[in-house]
Amino acid sequence: MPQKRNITAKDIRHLAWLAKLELSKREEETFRSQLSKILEYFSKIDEANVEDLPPTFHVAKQYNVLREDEPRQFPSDLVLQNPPKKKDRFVKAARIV
Amino acid sequence: MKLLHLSAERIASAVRSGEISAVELLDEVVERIRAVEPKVNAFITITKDRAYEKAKDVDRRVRRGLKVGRLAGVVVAVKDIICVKGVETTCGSKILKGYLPSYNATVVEKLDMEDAVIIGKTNMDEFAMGSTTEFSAYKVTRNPYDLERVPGGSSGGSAAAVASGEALLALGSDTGGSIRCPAAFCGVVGLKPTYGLVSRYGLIAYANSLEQIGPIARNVRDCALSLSVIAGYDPRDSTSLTTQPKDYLEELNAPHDLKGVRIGVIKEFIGEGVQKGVASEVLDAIYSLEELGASVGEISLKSLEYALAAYYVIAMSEASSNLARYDGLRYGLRAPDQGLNWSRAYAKNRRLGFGEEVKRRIILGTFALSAGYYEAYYLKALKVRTLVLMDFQRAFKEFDVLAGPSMPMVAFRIGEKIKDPLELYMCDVNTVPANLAGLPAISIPCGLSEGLPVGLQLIAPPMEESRLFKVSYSYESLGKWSFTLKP
Repeated sequence: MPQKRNITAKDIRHLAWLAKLELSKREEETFRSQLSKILEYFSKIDEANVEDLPPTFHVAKQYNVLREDEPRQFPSDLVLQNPPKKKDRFVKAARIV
Repeated sequence: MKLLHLSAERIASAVRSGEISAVELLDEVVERIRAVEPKVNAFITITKDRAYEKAKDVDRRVRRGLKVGRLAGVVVAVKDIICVKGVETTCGSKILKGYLPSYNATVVEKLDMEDAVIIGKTNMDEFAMGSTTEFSAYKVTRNPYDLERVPGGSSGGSAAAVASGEALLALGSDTGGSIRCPAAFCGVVGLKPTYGLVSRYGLIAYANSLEQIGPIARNVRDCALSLSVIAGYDPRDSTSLTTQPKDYLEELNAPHDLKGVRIGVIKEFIGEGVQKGVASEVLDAIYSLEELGASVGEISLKSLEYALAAYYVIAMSEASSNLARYDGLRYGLRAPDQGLNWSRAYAKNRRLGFGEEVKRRIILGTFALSAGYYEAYYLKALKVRTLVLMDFQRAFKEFDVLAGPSMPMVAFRIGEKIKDPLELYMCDVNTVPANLAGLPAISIPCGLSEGLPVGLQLIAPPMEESRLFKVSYSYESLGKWSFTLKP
């Protein structure tokens, strides 16, 4: 069972880092004050007696749906309409380091 | 303005027989959009040229005596979460501004194949995260019944477009009530199909294990017709069910009554927190079903107490993973180059591209999946989901259909709840259980409270959409509610 605790600004910054999401100072503060309350509500599931039950990830009955490993045509001219930055027929990415 | 008042079913048959032309109808719809869209704001993109091209093609084929489809000439609006090839698809988000899909969603292919005329892409809460459509990055859609109120969400634009006559039908998507909520608030019919019945190929993912595309229509027959068109196995969606498509409309033509149909009112749906006016309209509708021969009882599903919390933990966890793909490199918004490294550039694109509610859910989902909390939140929520499933299975041994209000309240004022996220989440309390359990659920209008529409929700076992249509159509045939264009 999780420890009930208040979410700190440091927690929010850590989560934002994990999610690769830059937040403004204002957002950091808003989320910090809202998240404790929301998580407290979510803790309601602690009251449910479900320890012996299996989890249901999804209700679909299918498992390991595979297809033949055949290449499919890719309309590259249409796909290449979308990247905001390109060089010739390449997508320009941010620098790695 | 006479064609505008006809049902989709009637229009399609009149277009097929050459009695009217698809262009005639489209002219009327375009005129209607010109008149009401500035007030209602249902659309993000209007595809008038594409629509005329299709309508003319349908008319041409009718004149030549060639075969035309089941939705011939019917003007349809598509939620902006569904990909239409070459038409800007934003999902209500700035991060997808300008995104032109290179393919059609399966449901769009099916609409095209049956000769529907797609008029545009409708407004929605960003990435379908919301119950009011106020979280759209583009505009605030207004409820056609009262322009100061929300249309519900997240498929608010789709429901408002149908209610205002800007389209005869619409497609929405429902992750935790996003079809049924706006259908209830706008006085139209909305169906969330059984999980896997309709292909999700081309539906922009929010929470894969919960969501389904479904129709929003003026009446039950049009809803049944639309489902017949969009349902069916699709190898491109690995969760698609391998069942034979049915003609749901044809099934409604067979004579039937409600004798022997057992309807269970879910106690938890109608208790504390439900507006009095809503409860009384819904109970009146259920008494009418009893008069038609159904037997009515009450049932308690204890696990529903935990369903809302479990739903949000699961949906946010899936969202935080799904939305990781938005990096600003391959499509959509990208921040001006500041020489930042990969991680920081990526984080900045996402800061500029996502709205507040999306960020909140990504952060919460990341929390629920992070080390030390996964078992306590995500895994626990999935176990609660099993409990909810078992409760429904038990209930369906006693009852054929379960019933209650779609929403605990009528449409509220724009801005009224947006400041408090938790209060907004609570609005979904009656709709999320069907998503957790993958069950088909419909919302049909059943009266007015404070002058605003109330939705009756009916839930059936998996693949029993026909049963929902049959009960809904029986109610609708009593004539206690009939569709009228608003505003």
